[in-house]
Amino acid sequence: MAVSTTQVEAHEPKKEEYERPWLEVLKRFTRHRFAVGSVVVLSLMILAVTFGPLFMPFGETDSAVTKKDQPPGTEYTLPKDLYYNSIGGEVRTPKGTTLTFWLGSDNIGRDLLTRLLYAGRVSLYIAVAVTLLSELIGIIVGVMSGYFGGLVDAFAMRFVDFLNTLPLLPILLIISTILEPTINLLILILVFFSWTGGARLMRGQILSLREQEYVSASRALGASNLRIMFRHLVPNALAPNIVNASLALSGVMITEAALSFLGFGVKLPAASWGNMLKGVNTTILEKYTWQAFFPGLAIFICSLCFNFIGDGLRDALDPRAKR
Amino acid sequence: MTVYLIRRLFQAILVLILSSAVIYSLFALAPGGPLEELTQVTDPKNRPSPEDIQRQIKLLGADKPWFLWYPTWLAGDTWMDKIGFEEYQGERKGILRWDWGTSWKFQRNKPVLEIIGDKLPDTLWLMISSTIISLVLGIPLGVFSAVRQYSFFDYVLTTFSFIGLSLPAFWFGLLIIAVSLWFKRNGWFYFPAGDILALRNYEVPILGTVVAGSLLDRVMHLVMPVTVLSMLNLANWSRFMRASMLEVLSQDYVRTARAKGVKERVVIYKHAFRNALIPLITIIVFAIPGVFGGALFTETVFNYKALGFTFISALNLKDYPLAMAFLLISSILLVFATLLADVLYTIVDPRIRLD
Amino acid sequence: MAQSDVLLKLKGVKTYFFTDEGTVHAVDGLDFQVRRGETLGIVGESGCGKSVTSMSILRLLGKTGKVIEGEIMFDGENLLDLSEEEMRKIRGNRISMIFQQPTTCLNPVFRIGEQIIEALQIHQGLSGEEANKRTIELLTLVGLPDPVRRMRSFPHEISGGQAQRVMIAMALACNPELLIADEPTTALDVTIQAQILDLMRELREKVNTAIILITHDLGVVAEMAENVMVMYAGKAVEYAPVHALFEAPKHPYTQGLIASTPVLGNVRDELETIPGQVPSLLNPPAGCRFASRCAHKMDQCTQEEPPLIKLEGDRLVRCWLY
Repeated sequence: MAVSTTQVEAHEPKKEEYERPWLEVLKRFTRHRFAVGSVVVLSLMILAVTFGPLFMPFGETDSAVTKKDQPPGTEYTLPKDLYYNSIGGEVRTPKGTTLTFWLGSDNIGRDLLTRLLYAGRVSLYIAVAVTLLSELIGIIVGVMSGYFGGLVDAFAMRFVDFLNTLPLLPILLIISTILEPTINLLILILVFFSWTGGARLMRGQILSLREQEYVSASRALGASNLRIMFRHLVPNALAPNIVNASLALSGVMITEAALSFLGFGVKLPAASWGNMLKGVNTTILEKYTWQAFFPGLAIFICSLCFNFIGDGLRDALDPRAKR
Repeated sequence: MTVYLIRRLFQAILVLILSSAVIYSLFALAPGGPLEELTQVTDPKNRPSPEDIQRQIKLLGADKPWFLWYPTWLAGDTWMDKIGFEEYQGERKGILRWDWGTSWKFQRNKPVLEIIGDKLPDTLWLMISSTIISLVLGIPLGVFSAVRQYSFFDYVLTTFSFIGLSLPAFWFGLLIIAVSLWFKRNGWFYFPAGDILALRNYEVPILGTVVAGSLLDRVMHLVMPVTVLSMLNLANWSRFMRASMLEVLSQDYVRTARAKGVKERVVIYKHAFRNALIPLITIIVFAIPGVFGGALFTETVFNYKALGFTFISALNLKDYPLAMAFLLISSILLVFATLLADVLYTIVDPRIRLD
Repeated sequence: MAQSDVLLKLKGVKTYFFTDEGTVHAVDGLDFQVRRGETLGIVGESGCGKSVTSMSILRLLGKTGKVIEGEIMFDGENLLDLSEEEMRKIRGNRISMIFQQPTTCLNPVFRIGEQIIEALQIHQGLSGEEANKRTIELLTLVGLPDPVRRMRSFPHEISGGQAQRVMIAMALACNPELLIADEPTTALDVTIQAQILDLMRELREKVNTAIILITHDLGVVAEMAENVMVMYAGKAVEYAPVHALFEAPKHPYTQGLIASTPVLGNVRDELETIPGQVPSLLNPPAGCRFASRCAHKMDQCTQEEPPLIKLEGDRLVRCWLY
């Protein structure tokens, strides 16, 4: 298009742009208002789930038997001393203290906000761990596949193709039924099915970079394959994978929530945002709506933030692709 | 063309054999054997009878030496004498000859294929209506948004699709049920939540009495689940269509068409649209396996007792033959869809070489 | 010469692009004219505003670009005053265009014949047998072998050279008065380039169309054009008949361009280059835009923009040296 040619060719890059590309990326990222907002919101949520529980008087499973299904803002006077094990030691809240269920209580009288914070740890941990691990595996497989080509490539890519012809959700549900996984095993299962996207992206990037001169130059200088791959190729090919990872975070979070909601993901008594919604029925929806509302809202906000950040990163890292 | 198709068909069959082997292994090699663990269950209702277990073992071929397991499951054991294993001769026909086993719990002793056949129409109602709605709305929205890139409308649609992509479908379902219940309590118009058809006639403001089992009753029950499914697809598809259209609109041949004096409307709806639709084939074709996978949550949330619901029940009841059949069918559909997409591409896109 | 002889006349045309980075002054005050049957070459480096000029004439600038000043008189009418519908009737009919990348300029999902017939249908209402006949005629005219069969081909089935022939046939379908050729040979192999240029010359004789030939290749201009306009950073810097230009280039930029072009059979040890870069069109410098790269720079050059100075023999040059 005429506009872009004029711009690109006539635009004289300033010196700093050559020297500090990351600054330029950051500048472009901050232009995406939603993405910046999302970073703020997400940071607050991460801070809240990490440190929040330390400041809550209730423990994850403490229940007030007399205060089931209370609406948000209900006050609760402790009938006896409440002990909470925090990192700093045991914290005692004396009997007679009035506490508030800021977001209400659940069907067995546990504080919803406290549950939500603990659940957030699990949900965010799973989302981040699955994404990081699958990107890591994806990048390694993608680099090998793109760099060596031939049999390695053919084998790896056929395997990727094959994984993609398995129906993801049903198979996850079945594996989960058979194995009844712990949280960490669940992460590994999810990783097994989600590294393929990253591998394909990385392979594509490597294929286009492999023939460039600096690669031949490094090879001529006697650099080892490993060095060429991970010092020269990967850093230059990483951008699409970063974008992909941040969008994948949202997908993983929703998948985990969905599995847990159906009862096939994170198992009770551990809480995750998804399994807090498990067992929601018409009675709860009609009378105790907050119990269904807040956990879902947390998933929604996080996954929206991940998506916006991914979009912002795409704009920032690849200025040519417009939205 | 024929050579290409035959090669693709051959590949598809190979993939099917592989994925069926994976599915088979999932069930056959599961720790403690297929139904074995359930014999420990104290409640006799949830305990498979020795016949159930025998039947499952025979279905999986586990009564034979290991190298005959998978072949038995696949092709039955009526031909064992032909390969010199007279002692294993049996009456199973194998999944290739439609012998998929029987449910032991969900609907005791009923062949799983019959159960699936019973439940399929209700899932099809759900999926077909939501697919049509999503396509009919999603394609024009995407095109319109691309044509008016950076306009207010485009901005709204882009934001909407971000929200749609981030919204957990099951939670969205729960929310609209809550809203509907609230409407009902206030005596306003509402849509019934739960079930496929009502058991008794019911009153809805404006419409009056809805006869249980009538078409109206069905539609009333479809509205909410279809909304949830369409919302998800709509967000995805309109976004996809927008991107595809933007890509095409920046192509040289669109400029050529304009330079030729073609009306802007024709430029968009003939020259650009035809090209932008090509990548949409993938999405439309993959809606077919979606029939099995996509409805899982929606059906559970709305208690819509069709295929997805059955699958989840089968898993909860550990009714493995039924769950396995479901998985197998989804995987066949997925492979079939991949094949169909390839074939359609060669028909629609003249650039694809057939060698 | 008589007024009616002038087919196209641009007066003070400024085309700006409004982008996130700022306003790009892509064409910044351009005057020139094309007579009926004349071939005008527009020469300059990439990004100097050549293509934008042609898109301005056809009013196909896209969403961000706009002609903000000046007039484009075509056969006595200001194109900028026409409604979109009136303009559309001119495109492909009285003014048509061929582009740099012929293979990507043809719509991949339609047959070649359909794409030519479409132009005939829009502007001449031809359809069916008549349109078919005319299309075969056109394809024969541009020297495409086996036109009847080729009509049924898809664009990916033909070569780049053949695709450009098809584009030319499409452009000539309605006997345009003006043909704008934007780098018509740049993307083609050298031998094919020569064939296409021959074809264009031959057709110019046959159909008597005025041509604006946009290129960065001085060789092409020397072969095809009668008059040449040299553009630099959105402005015309020199205007001259083609022979005069090559014999005695006046503007330092033109001199540089000619010196940096290899001439066959004329072995030089070293081709000259023009040092420096084209200035940013986001904030064009005051004064002469070439000043920063010019070997003859004077104080005046950076302060005041030189006007187009009239020299003998229908020549114009934008430089304080004259």
